[in-house]
Amino acid sequence: MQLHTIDWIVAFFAVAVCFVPALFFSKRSGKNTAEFFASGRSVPWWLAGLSMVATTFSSDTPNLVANFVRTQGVAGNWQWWAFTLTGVATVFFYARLWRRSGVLTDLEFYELRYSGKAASGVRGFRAVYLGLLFNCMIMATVNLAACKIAAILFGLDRWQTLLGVGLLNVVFAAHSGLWGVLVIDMIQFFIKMSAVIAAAYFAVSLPQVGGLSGLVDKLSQVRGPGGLNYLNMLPDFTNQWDLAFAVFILPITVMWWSVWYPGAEPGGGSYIAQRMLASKSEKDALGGTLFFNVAHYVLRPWPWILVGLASLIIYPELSDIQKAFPHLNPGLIGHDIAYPAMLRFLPAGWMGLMLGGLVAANSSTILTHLNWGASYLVHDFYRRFVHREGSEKHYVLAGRIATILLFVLSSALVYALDTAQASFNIILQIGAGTGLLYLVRWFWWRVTAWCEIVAMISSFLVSVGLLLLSRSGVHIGTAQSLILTIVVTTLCWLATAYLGPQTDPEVTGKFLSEGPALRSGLGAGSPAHRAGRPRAGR
Amino acid sequence: MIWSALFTVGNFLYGRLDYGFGLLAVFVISGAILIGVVRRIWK
Repeated sequence: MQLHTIDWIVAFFAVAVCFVPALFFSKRSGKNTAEFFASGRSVPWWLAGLSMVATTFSSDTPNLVANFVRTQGVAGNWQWWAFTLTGVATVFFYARLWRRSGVLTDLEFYELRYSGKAASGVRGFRAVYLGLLFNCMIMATVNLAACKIAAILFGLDRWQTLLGVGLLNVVFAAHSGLWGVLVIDMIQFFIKMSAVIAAAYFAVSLPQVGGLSGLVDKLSQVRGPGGLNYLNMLPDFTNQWDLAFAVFILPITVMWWSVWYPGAEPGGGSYIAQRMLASKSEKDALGGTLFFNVAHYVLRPWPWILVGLASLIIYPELSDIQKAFPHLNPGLIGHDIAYPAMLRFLPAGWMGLMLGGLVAANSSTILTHLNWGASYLVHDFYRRFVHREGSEKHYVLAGRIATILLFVLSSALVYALDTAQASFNIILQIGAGTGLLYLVRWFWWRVTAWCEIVAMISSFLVSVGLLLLSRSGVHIGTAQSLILTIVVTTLCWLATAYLGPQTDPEVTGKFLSEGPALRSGLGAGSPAHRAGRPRAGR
Repeated sequence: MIWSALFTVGNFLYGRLDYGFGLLAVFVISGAILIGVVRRIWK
């Protein structure tokens, strides 16, 4: 794809505007780990919210939405729209609680809520599991999308893209800490939104598409596989029950409360919790999370959807994309690549803005994941279990080294991933069934650290078992696999709650007395409640 | 509240103004109720 001089100027300016302000935060972020990983707990709601929404807008997100639109219609987006329910629950019930807990990372919460070696064990295990394994897989997914886009736009090899992305992100993440990440995110959000709105405008304005009315008229007459109406915002419950079950009924009845994936964790967690914890007050934590949910679900989807719909007219089949990009590696061709394929219609100058926006989309996600993953590895593993008496400067340096190592490992993983959709499914499978636990642990005294350990192990084992079955020729559908994992995992941790060792009543009583648990009644019946201890901490 | 806002935008883009305005009303009412409930919860 040919870029003009004006495109390069605009792209350079867009990237520079994002990153240069972060250079001024090195001294502040290097003071201590509270500054490096939690911005000194002084972030206003609008900065926290903008950063959350910028982080969840990565370079693979438009590709994923285009994939949904082209294969399942607009209604296919219910797979992630259903998570509005957990998002709203997080806003109104959990955001304040997280900020009130006063922990530095959401993993530190384990030793506030639970007691004994099991509590420290689950904290350390999740630090490595999420901070290293899960985190690297997500970054690999995001960088795989960047590689695909760069291959289409510039014909770059994977290693070339990874080198460029790595140099930019690692330097700033290691240098500026969470302050730098938040400021970069804020500016990037506006550049990205401008770019995707421009992309939607020019896609819909193509003569073949004929504007919004032309788009709606043309696609109203087109039917996809099984009579799929691409425009429908709700699935067809009569003629396409299987699709409706997979993309709507399952997500809205089961997945939103049971599935864990970053950005939509039941009860909040990961980098969303990191921003709540960095907020300067409980109200800021709530306001930032509310802003995030509105921007995430309301402002952003439609420009992506419009491009996906327009691509159905321009490239009705995958072979049409291959024809338009004859030199593109056939292994990269998929419906998710329709989004970058539509970008060739952008006029000079706008292409540069989109390029800047794509760089911003990639780096906002990667920067956050680097800082978030490093916070787990350093604060919840290295500092907690390996080296307890170091200075604050020592742990900030450890955070910077962890940042570099995380990117190197995730880059190696890029070569093992297939498409963005496949990665999304793997992520969902591994987190399946654990979500309810994260919702009720704030209120129900029976939940213990062992429940969390059992939930993670059972979820992982079921996922691995399903993968092995699939490889041996026994194919179980994605929806059925998800339900099986959720049911097994939920039963396992519920059994552990009733049959396994209990948390020290002193710890449970203190924790529950500082939350709204007793008002909900779920704390009633606990050993601490029977002993008359609750509410003592208020 | 969020879904009604999401589909308000969608229906306006599709040119379905009647649905769009209907959902806009749902958004305003549900938003007001939610804000009121949350204020009471955290009072």
